[in-house]
Amino acid sequence: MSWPILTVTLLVPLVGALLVLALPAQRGRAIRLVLVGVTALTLGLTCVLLVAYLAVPSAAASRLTGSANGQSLSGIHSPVTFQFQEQVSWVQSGPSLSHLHAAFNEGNSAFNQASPPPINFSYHLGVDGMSIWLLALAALLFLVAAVVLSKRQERLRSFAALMLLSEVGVIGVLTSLDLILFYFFWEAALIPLYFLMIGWGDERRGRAALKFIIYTVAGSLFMLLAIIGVYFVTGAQTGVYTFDVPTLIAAQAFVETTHATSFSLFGHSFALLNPQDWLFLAFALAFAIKVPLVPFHSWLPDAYSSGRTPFLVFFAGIVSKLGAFGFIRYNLTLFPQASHTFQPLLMGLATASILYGALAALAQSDIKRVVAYASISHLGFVVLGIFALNVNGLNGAIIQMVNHGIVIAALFICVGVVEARFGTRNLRELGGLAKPMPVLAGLFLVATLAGLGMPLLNSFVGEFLILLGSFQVSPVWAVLASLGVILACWYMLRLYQGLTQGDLRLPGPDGVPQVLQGVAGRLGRVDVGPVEVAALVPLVALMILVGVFPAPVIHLGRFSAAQYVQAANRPTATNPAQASARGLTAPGGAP
Amino acid sequence: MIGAQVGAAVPWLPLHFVPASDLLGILPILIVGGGAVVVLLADLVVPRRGGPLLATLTGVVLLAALGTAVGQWAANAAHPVVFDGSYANDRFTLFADFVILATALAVVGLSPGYLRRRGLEEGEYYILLLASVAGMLVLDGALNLIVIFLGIELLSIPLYVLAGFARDDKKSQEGAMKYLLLGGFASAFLLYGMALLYGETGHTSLTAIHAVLLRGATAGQFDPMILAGIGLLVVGLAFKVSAAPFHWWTPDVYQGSPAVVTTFMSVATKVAAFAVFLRLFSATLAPYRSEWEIPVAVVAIISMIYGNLVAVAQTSVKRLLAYSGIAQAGYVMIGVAVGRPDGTQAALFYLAAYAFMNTGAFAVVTLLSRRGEDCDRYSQLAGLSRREPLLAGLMALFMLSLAGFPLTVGFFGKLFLFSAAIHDGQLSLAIWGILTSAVSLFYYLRVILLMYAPGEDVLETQEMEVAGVSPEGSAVAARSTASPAVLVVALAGFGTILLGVFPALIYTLLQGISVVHG
Amino acid sequence: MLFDYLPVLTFLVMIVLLGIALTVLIPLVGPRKPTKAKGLPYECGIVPAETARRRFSVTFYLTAMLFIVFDVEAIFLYPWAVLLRSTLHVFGLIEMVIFVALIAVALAYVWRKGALEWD
Repeated sequence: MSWPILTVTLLVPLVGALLVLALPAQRGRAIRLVLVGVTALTLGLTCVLLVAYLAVPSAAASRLTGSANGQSLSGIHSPVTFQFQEQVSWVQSGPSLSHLHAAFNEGNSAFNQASPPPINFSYHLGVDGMSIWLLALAALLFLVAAVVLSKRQERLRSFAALMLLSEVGVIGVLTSLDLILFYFFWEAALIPLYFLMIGWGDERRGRAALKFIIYTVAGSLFMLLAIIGVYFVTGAQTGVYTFDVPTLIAAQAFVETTHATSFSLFGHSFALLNPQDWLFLAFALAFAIKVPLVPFHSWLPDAYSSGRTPFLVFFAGIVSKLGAFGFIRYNLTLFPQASHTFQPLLMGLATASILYGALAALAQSDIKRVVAYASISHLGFVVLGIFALNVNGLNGAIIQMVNHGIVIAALFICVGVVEARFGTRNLRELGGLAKPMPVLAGLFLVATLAGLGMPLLNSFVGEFLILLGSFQVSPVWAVLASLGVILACWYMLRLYQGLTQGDLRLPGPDGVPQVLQGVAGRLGRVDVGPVEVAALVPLVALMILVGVFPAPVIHLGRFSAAQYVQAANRPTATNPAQASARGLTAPGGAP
Repeated sequence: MIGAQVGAAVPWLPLHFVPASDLLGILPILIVGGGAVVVLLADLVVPRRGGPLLATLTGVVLLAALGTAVGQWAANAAHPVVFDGSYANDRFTLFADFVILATALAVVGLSPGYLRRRGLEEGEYYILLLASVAGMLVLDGALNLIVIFLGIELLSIPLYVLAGFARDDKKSQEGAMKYLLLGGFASAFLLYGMALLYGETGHTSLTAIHAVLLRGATAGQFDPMILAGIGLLVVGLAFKVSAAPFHWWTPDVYQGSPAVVTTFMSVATKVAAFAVFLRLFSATLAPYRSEWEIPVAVVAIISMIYGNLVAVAQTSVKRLLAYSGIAQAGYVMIGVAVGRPDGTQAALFYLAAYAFMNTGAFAVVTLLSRRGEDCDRYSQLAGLSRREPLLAGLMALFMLSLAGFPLTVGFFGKLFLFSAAIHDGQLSLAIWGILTSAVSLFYYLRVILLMYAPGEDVLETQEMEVAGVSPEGSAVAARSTASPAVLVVALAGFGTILLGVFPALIYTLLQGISVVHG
Repeated sequence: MLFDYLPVLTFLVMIVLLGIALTVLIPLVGPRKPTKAKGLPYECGIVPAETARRRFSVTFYLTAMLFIVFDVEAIFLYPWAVLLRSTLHVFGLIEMVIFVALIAVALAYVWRKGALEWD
């Protein structure tokens, strides 16, 4: 690709945000038009990217041969290949990257340990077979959110601009190939999200936003520490001081993990776990909070129940996937050995999330909180698949991330419509809505069935592969996770039946549910409008399409899954010579 | 007849006064000091209420000094040490000069409108400001204990007066008195520390002291008197940079002083004091590093913990910023504790970043201040996004930057500091920095929450009610008379973002800066 | 070495002891014959004409302070004059010109600000 398509994809929403801000605030229609146009353009660009990715000869070739080398930056091989790379130096305080690679190829540390190592980081973008799917999902969900966004939304202009800025952040997280750049986008994306949370939503939004941001940033600050740690640990052992992700992934093959390097804490050295383990845990903490896994989940129900629907479409749909994305992209590749060390821990937390989320969803009467806890349960599956550390599990996780994004967005739109029409989220005050809202009930049914993993709908594919993968690790995980599937039927149908079946029940004036019979006509037009249908139909169509024809999706995800599994299963070596003896590609053909 | 005798005894030609190179080396100080005299004379001839004119004159003086410093940086003089090794005009000094002079310029931009609103228009304000700046410039290049003390006093005494500049405001008076008394204590500690150093080494020159210490340290001997001296120096300097546990004056003085003075005090003083801190500890006292490393690290950690935790409980904007300033001093102390070139560079970068974000935050407070009182209560910030969208947006930006979010310069400041600490093996410093940064989010983001979602603050519901009746349009009235002030805030915001995206603009300047020593 | 300072220590101890002794002994052993005149404030033996606690004009303090400042600065001229020919030479001359100019500026400032006017 001769033009920097990723940078363009990144810039389109940014320019869109500026454009929106340039419009007068009262021009609601124009603002909405620009918003939809910009998000549609972004989606178009990611589709071009997707098509081009499939058409790139090298990728196709390596996909056909099944080998996973090809990524090269002056001869260093990373098991994970990235396409459409763009790299511009950002901050450079020492030898350039090519010098670093030269030093790496010489297999020794070229730096005088007394002098501070250079701090280099670059604007480095690229995609692989996993992130490209998430990129497409992100673009789709932002478009859906733009469509759902009512032009009567208060302070529409700010909302639209912040939404587009969030999109910049999300795309940046998904495409960045430099740890500093990644962290930069990871945190920067929180700023518009924070403003969206405090500006719009129910009366408890302030507390929810603060909780969300403090949880997330507390986690990611440790990740920042770990990023610096990776830089120095890798640098000290291989002579490559860099934040560049492909280089770091490649370099991990030469990072020794058996002997703990002790850090001094006021003169005391502690070496409980080796540095790789600590770094792994710091990264895992940040991602586990973002996903969220169970002990770190308590921000989620508040955030999800207080937000507005358009916000939730992309917040629940894509932002939570960034945690899972981080697990795959960084934890598996940068800390292969630690990934295995902590496999039981992470799988245990994932299983706990599945079961806890499911049980908590059963106990909720707030319809948004039901969906929120359902989301925790579903994301538990994704993490379970990731830490199965085999191709099936990872493939399932990648597919399930995309599926969950589609399903959760649809569910939030449906639930949001109900809340907007009747002013309550209490399941006990609502019922029998299928009569006045037949179209919603139909679309909602598909989303519900997809959410509980019905065969022939999309989630089934992902969940099946994840269960397959976790069974390969140990049947125990698969059995426990299957319980989650059973519970999913229960809480999803409880939500659906409670809302749509039975007698028509609406909140009365004094808060007591009012049972109405045969008066559906008196409610007037409460069913979904053309806007909601326009947003829901593509999502529902995708659910059915992926469910009926899963083969292409599975095959595309498999290639990337195989690469990541290879990255995670690399034996670590104490020196390059040993590495090549184990059949690994030594950098630059070193002896 | 006397003239003839003198003529016979003194070789009139060539005139040998101080060598020109020496004078060139302290040219920025001479400009600022001379400028103070010029402003003082101008104050005598301009009519009353000539504030803007004096402000312009002060601005010109500061600009001239800044221009000189930039020119000297560009010229890259071969012999940066002047006056027999008692003052260094090296890049380290010049960088600190940039930050100090730029901050002072910003303060001068904020002042006329603010002083008029608060009814404090006196020419002495600008004279004292310039005198204090001169003291800072002396301090940041001082290579001699005497010069250090001279600089400290020259910067402090005008500040004592400035802190109490609001003569009819009891809080201002209280702050000034506390600052004077505790400042006197700190000076005494500093002086005692210097006396011990001098007594044991027999030198006041930092270079000579360094040589003596190096000889002792390589022989494995650590003189207890020198250790005591270093301890007293830490106390005195920690007071000046308001690091805990020597910070007790900070909240009261910051809250009481007029907002423009607080702006100046919180940024420029800190930069100057950290300059001498860094010079002393990363160069002069480096041989004793094994001895002072832990106390300095402990001061850093206590500052980070105490500042951030106590800031959470504040309900006054200026006190919040004061405690946040204590915490920020703790972060910069990481750079001091690391001590090596990368620590020094990281500390300098952070100070530059701090100058942008903290000046900006205080400038917003300045702009929101009305007649008779400063914008200090949280309620005065409530709903600011509706009343003053631009100021609210910029304030949010400064808060995010102080909290260390990416896209703002504060992020890179912390990144460089933490990586310096980790590279030095001082993991505990980085971990405490990370933990307390997480705590700091709470109060920084609460300010944003307050501005953007009134009635939403979970902790300040009572105050919110007051907000409903707070008079609107205060800052709108200010805006018309304070366009340079708005420019200052906007520039600070611009710098915060620009450096947040392109940190290399400053970071490359810092490459190769290490402390010149004799 | 510390032994050399023993006289100082002795001296300090003596002072303290003496002070305590005098304070304690005088009220115990001294005769007391109070009269009205003895209770008056001592003003060089003259009977006070009015109360000593009258208010002075604040300007008096200002003038006095200014006098001290300029007085001290003027005293600085004496050592300078002694050393000018032998050691300071032109350097000293220029320095003093600058110094005096600064004093002049200060004087002008004080004058113009009205600090020298009584009312």
